[in-house]
Amino acid sequence: MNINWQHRELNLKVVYYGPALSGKTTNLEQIYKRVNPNQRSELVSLKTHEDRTLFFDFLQLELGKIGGLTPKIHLYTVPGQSYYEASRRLVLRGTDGVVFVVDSSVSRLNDNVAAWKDMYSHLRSFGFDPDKMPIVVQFNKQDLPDALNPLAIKNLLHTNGKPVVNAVAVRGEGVLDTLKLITRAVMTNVQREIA
Amino acid sequence: MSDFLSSSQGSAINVDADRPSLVLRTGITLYPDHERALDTLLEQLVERCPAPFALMADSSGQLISYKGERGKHDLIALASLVAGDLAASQEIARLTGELQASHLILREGPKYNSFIADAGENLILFVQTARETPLGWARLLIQYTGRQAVNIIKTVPAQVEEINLEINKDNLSDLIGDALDDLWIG
Repeated sequence: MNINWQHRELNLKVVYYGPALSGKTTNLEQIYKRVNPNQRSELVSLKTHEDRTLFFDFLQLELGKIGGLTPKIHLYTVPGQSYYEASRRLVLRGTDGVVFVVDSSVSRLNDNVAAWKDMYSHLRSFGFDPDKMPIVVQFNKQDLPDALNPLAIKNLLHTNGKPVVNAVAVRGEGVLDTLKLITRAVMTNVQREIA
Repeated sequence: MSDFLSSSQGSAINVDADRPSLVLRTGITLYPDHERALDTLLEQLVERCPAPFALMADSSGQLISYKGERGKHDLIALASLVAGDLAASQEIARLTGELQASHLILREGPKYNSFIADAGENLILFVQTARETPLGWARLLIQYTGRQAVNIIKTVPAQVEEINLEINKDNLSDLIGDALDDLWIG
């Protein structure tokens, strides 16, 4: 987070985290497609030859003025594959909030739990308290025939009252709601950061 | 502690007389004085090096300032990539037991050399120099600039303008919802 009083800008960082192929990049692609081009940057993607995220995807959104400040939200994704753990940790550095993207398929249950624990551990390694950090949980791929119901996922991950959103990101469903919730949570947290 | 969301009237902020208002507990707070001083510092770097282009970002990849020929650089993307590059390089150094207090990456190009250097924990410099510019000279200036930048942001200006934010707990959700709805064209 940084505040620039000269330009009245509030810069915030939000990271989309989750297991491989859960839909993190899809969220950013949908946001990129669906927001006013004058208020977003280009989508930067560092990908492998197989089109999988290698390091991160990045997109900046510029909101209209809120209380005299222009919030600029920097959205990042992490690479989901297990062997990119070191890169995932780096992307979390300096984050102001996290969207955890769950793959709702019952076959990905263990991957979700592993990624959730991994996220907690990395946040703690940076001195963040994951229970105080703004985190929104997106239950993606709710259209799958074997999708777990949201209550089951909540119990599985112990989301502890964190805001949740049902989504089918590939169709854009739940993408804006997720973005609204995390932005609200991060902005609310700003007041605690100001001394 | 100042609570800029607490007043329904959006009152001016300055609660504690001993300290200026609106200082973030984490991250960086840039006041106009900081901005001017950092701009001057970058300008001096560009002139003395000489460097066709220099950029300053924070460690999470947010652009703070730049000087020189912008050309076709996408500055927002560049700032995020510079931060990612430095973070990856620092992690490589950590894993191989070579991590040190300050870190500098040199990338030699056909026309320009590019330096990426940390400036304390929170700032990053990206500087392009001509191939003919001696590497040692550029390195010296970049590291000096980094140290000066750290000193600048460490200092809180004595005179801080009071900020009146028209925001409160009750309307925050609506304001954010409206701002994102305006952004969304579906």
